[in-house]
Amino acid sequence: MGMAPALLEEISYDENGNMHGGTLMDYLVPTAMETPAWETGETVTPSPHHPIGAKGVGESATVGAPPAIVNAVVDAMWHLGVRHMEIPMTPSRVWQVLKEKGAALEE
Amino acid sequence: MLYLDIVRSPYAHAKIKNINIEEALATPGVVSVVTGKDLDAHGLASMPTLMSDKQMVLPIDKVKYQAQEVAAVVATSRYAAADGVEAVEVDYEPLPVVVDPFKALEDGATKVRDDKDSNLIWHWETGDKDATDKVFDEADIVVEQSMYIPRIHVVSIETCGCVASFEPIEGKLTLYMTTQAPHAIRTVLALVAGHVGLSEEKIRVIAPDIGGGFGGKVPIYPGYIIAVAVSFLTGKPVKWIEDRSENLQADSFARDYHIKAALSAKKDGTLTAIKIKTVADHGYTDAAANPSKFPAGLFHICTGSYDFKQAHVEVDGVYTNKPPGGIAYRCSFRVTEAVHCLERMTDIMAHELDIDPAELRMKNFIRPEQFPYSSVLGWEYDSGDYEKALRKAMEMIEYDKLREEQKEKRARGELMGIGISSFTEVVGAGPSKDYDILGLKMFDSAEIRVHPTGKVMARFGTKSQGQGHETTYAQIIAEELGIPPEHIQIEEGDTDTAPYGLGTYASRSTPVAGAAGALAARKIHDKAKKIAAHLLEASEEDLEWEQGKFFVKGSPDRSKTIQEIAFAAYTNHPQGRSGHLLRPTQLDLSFRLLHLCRRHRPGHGRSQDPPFRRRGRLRCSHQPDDRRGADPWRSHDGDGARASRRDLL
Repeated sequence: MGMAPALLEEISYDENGNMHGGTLMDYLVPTAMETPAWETGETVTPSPHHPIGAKGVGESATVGAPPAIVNAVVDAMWHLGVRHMEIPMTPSRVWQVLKEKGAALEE
Repeated sequence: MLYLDIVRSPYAHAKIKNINIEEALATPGVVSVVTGKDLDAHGLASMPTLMSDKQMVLPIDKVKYQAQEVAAVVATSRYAAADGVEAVEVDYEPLPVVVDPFKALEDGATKVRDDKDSNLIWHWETGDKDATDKVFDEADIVVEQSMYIPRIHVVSIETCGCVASFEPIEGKLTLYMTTQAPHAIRTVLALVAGHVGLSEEKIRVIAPDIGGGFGGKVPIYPGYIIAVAVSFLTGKPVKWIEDRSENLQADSFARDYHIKAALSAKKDGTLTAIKIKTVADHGYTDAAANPSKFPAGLFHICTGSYDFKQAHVEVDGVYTNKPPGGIAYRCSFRVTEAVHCLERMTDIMAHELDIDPAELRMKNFIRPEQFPYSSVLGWEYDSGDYEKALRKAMEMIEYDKLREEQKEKRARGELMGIGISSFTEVVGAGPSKDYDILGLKMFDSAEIRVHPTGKVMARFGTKSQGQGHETTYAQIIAEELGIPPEHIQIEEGDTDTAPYGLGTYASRSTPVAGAAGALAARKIHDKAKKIAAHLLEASEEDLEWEQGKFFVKGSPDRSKTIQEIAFAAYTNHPQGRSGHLLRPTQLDLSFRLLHLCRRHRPGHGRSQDPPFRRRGRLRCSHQPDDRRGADPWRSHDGDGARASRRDLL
């Protein structure tokens, strides 16, 4: 679920140490509605250190996905002068950037 | 059964002036209220972390983060416990709070820990700084970027919780617990609570089916220790289950890395060096679930899939008034942070140089012929073909067409982006040169039993949280033994029956326990061959294996299936081939003497009373379960109340 930290999830605190998001109303976890369908493919390069050549891939989808998603969003806006986006890239954060760059649609 | 609920702090930093428990004790159903002082009397008010830091179980004088455990209410029902929590009055004196790790590092900052000199936990760096700086000086282009990988939470469907059941007669603790690492928990408990008489052979951890873990169920949280302590003191089972808000506010946090990176390259897109400075916010204690020998875990995998000649990484671990963070959520110990940084930097470099991001990556990948490859920061890479994998992904998404589409859309004023990332993750924790937990190093084991009918029971020291070990391990064993996977029963999670292992996290179960399973199956395969040779009256060298049976070379009809061999292993094995079967040659006639023995104390055979055997110091109101009306804490003594039967041959 690499899209969750890329787009939705953040535990933040105010300056007094009060936590924002102590309920699932505030801490956004993707549900089946937000989760896209995906296609997977694989290549095989067996590990020489393992009796059956296995490698651990349990977390693969979640390690590489967040920067890929940020790279896509920045790629869409690079020509506007956007160089980096912090995660989670919530709709309001992306809209804010577009607005600053004059690319947001009129309300 | 008793139920536990926890009083939590509304303040992120405060002095506890007083805790008034009178009203709570008067609440119907409330049995006791436990405070830090009560636990301190037994040396249990704090516990060591995996990072050799100290974590409070219950505070004695100060709270250090919002939602910290302050006291625990024990009651005869979950509802009564919650009512008791409402009735506990805590008098706090708020103290200055520091939540920004950069401010925490400033001179004169509020000190989070009274037992430390500053908020800097550790400084760690690796790589050749001077050589890296030199590469930067000579670079055609340097890009820099700061980024924050925010604190996130695992949000497993099932929150943390346990039933701790101390049986005073046997002196045995059974802990039903939602944990990813049952054996490690048993050992840690024995280390934390050994001084009160809980030794490892008297602890059984059972992790039943688990509703998700994602790294959040590796550590021991205060609630577990409180539940164990209360069960120990009362001799009754104690149930503690977090509610969703407690879970979201108090435990299972990851990330919180503030990163500043610089990447250098030649004009042609050859990446030459990377420099990373990071401020790591650990909260009020360094309780990172990090079994590596490096304070920042595996963060120095930050050179990723590229052939960097130089790199330098610095990390400062910092205390703040937040709950402990740093669990290995959806990644192996800071790999996700490292990958995020590198892949962002690579993309920025590609855009700056106006080179296609895929092309820039291809240009810098470690080549297949370079394996085994040693990274400049000290990791050994075993194998891989990164270019092939990226090309495959590009073909699947029709990358060139997407770029065309992007161009057309941009011309129309529409925004469309394409993102790529490539990463190398360190998995299979791990080799002892890089990993260690409590001096145990890291390993896993498998135990396979083949029944007379050729069906298999296999036990592992890992613990599935939905990963499907039942399928994976069965397939591995099936492949090695030629027994159908549906005839193989996989069992994990009970420390009394499963062989020792370090648990399931960090993509390690198949690489480590799966390997142990394959090796154990190969030993059985070798034994099976010997038995087959005996049954077929052939030499082992003359036997050939095809999935599920041995046959004599050139005579495929002279064969024995693995199931026939399994039966023979119990009934017709060659002399001297099996160490565990005793086949009696004549009937033994024995008689039995039934002996009744009064075991009068739980620490049977111990010369000294364990400290908890004495009356507990917890305050208690009443004890409805105590039929004798005597001191409720007395149930440990069990004197004369029960007798055990021992058969003597």
